[in-house]
Amino acid sequence: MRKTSYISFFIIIAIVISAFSIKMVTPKNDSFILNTTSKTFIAGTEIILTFSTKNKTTPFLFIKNSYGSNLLKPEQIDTKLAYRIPSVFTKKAGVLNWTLINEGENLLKNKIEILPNTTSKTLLESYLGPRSVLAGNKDYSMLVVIPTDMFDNPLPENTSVKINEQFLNNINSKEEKTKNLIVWNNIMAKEKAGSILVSSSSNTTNSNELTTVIYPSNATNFTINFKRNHHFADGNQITYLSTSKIEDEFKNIISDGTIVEFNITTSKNTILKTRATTINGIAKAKILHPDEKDTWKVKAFVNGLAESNVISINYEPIITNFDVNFSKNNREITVGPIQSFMNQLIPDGALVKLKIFNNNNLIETKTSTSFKGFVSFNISAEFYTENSYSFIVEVLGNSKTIDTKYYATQTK
Amino acid sequence: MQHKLNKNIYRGILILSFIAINVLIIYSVSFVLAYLKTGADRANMLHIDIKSETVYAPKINWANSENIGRKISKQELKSIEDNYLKSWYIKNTAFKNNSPYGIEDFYTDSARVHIFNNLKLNKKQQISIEATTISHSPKLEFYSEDGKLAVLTDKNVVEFQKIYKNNKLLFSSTDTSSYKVVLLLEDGFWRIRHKVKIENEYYKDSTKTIQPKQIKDSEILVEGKPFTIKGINYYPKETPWDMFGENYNLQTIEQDFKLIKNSGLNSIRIFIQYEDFGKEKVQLEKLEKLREVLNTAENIGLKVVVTLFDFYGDYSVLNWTLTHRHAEQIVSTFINHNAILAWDIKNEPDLDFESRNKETVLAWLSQMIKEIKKFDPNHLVTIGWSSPEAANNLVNEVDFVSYHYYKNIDNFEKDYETLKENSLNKPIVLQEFGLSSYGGIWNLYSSSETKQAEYHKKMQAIFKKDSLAFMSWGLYDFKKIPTAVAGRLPWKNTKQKYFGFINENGVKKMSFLHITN
Repeated sequence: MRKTSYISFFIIIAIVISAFSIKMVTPKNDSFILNTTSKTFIAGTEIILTFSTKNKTTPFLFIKNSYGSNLLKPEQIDTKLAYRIPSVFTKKAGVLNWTLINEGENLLKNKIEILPNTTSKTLLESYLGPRSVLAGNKDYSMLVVIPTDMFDNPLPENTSVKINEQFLNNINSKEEKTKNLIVWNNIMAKEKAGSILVSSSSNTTNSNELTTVIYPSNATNFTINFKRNHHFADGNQITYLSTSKIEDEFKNIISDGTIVEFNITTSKNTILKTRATTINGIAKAKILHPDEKDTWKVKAFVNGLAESNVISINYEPIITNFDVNFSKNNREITVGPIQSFMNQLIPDGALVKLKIFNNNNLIETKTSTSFKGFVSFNISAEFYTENSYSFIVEVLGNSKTIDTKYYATQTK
Repeated sequence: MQHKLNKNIYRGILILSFIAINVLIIYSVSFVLAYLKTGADRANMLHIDIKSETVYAPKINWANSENIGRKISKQELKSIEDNYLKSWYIKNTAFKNNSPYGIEDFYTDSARVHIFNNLKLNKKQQISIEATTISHSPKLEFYSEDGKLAVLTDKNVVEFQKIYKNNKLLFSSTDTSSYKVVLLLEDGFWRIRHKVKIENEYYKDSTKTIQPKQIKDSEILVEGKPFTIKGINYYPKETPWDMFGENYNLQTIEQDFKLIKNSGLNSIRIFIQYEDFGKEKVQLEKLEKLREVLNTAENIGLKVVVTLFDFYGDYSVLNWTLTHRHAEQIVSTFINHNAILAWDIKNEPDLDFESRNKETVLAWLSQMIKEIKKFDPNHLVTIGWSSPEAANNLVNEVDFVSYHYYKNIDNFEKDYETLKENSLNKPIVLQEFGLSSYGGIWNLYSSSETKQAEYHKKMQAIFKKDSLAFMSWGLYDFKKIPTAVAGRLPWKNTKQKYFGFINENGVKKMSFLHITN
């Protein structure tokens, strides 16, 4: 009997002690209780976190959002601590962490979520790029729209945004939902060149108009032809080379300013080049007539992209009879009058070659251009000291041989 | 005559001043022209030639997944990463100084106002925040076709911050946050347009401390067997505090290691200087030298305690990530090296408590333990405190407790008992102790080689009695001590030279008999 009462006494004592010990390990931050029950708030509204406490201490509330942090002092009314979150923080949507701290110790720690203010006016920020695309079905511009509330907070996931697109007579719209803060859409190029206008709208707000230009795609093969005044190789007239209207695969005229290069192969296999840029799809190049009989093969290229057919152009020689006169002790040679295909004096600038031989060895070829149908050469005594020379004169593919002329050696 | 001379002097002065004025005018005009021309070149306008030093290097792990939109090149991703991290660094600096310097480079017009307003508020309330991010795990969600807009989710960013009010530290904390970020490419900078803090995903804290397998009941195990450290602090005789420098000689080191092994010791402690190893960009050549030393130790049968961050003294929060990269590169290289017994984070960091603030130093050490455990979970971690009292710090975070003892030998056992009570049953290593044999004018002839030998004899007797782990200071006497170690004052400096068991000429001193028990 006595024994059991002892035992029960000890048990009671043990229970009392353990109760004390439980009380002693109870963390003291239990003395602060968050009274604010709401976990989510709307951006731009007033947020006050209230705590109740039996302590007389006034802990700080440390708050932190995506852009920064701050430390708040409470407004204390008896046992209630009220922390008013500054407007810098209440306006920013996202998680806001708070920590109640007293003398370097974390008493309580949690977070609230501030939601974007969807009732306020929506603002749309749109980005379109690249602003130029090539016609066809491959290239595209991308439109990115970030709808925000009036506090510059991106609207929540799955906000719908209408994207409008106009091209010629077609106006298309589609709805997209925001994900990762943005809405995006590919604006595909069309087969016709032109420009696409893009706009977007969300919650009654409309964006600006954005433009992307569809440029014609790459040139396709084309044909060339030529035009000239006459077919004589007079080294004076100009032959015009021109392309057909160059188009891309979708029948758009290629962009103005595309360079077309004309390659001309002569009968001696030398290559002449001329180039021109397109206007309205047509490139026109010019080249001087040859000065002797020739047949040209012409082919044009838009380098790396397209080529033309090959055309051939014949130039007929001008059969001309001309005189060669020697004067001033044979030191001055006058060629002319040179006549052209209608016996008219050849226009100024025709090329005349004089080949000078001594004992059948070519010493020099002199060239000069005609002036008023004549060309004169001077065989000066200082340079040409031999007794005799013979000559060949060439004019526009015609030549005349002059047999040996004798020269008096210079006497001093 | 006199008149004419004067006239010439005047004339000379006139001509010279005329020339001088002309030179000045030409110079100033050219100066103005040069000024007007600066900044006009394209490289400047596009900010493509900015050379910058690494100032911020948190660990960044990009999620490997395809993003929506245009496929991104490695180079562009790197540029986004670079600018994004800088936006953090600039923001941290701004909140530290409450000045918006540089914010406009990394935040767009609309985004920067939020920071400006916040800074104004903090400045008014005299709050300043020192913060750094430790790690980022971004995932590129979207990259626009024209390459000018990117969206990323940065998950579980570990942030550390210290909050000051009126220049008094209120508290410090580490937290984890996640963000969604929209960046725009504007005149060469990726700038933050929107940044929204989002809920964290479930995240397993990998830094949770688990009892390493090399520790059992306050004993260190090597290959599963109890291992009592009988060691010595080691620097080569000719190159104290510069083991891996220009005069690095593996043969000398090998001979020394053999000597240490033959004298009956089983471990050594070596030091790695923070700047010498290349700070945040650890030089491969230094790592190679360290590997050779560790390999040599392994072949000879010595265990090595590697002390990191020697001569490092800047614990500032903004500098943290650089030290993390330093540690990462070293410890992850030797993650599987058998010679390493432990990484000693820093030698005597408690000596910086006064000048660098105790909380700052402890916070740095605590984070560094986590970092090293993250990159090398295989090896033990300790801190070489300068006294048994200081060793009470961070006991629950280190794997074993290390301390140094240069006080009166008579108190040693009492101090050891006190430390043992506070050490949470973790192994304790006396990592440095010793006595200088210098007896001369600077310490009034108070010591001698005999006294040194006597000291070591007594110490070894204590160690033997209780089979305590020890590492003595040091193997050699040195001819010259760098001023960074013991200053310039001869009464401090000179003493430091004579702690060795072998004198500077390579002759064993009397104490050598008591190098171990």
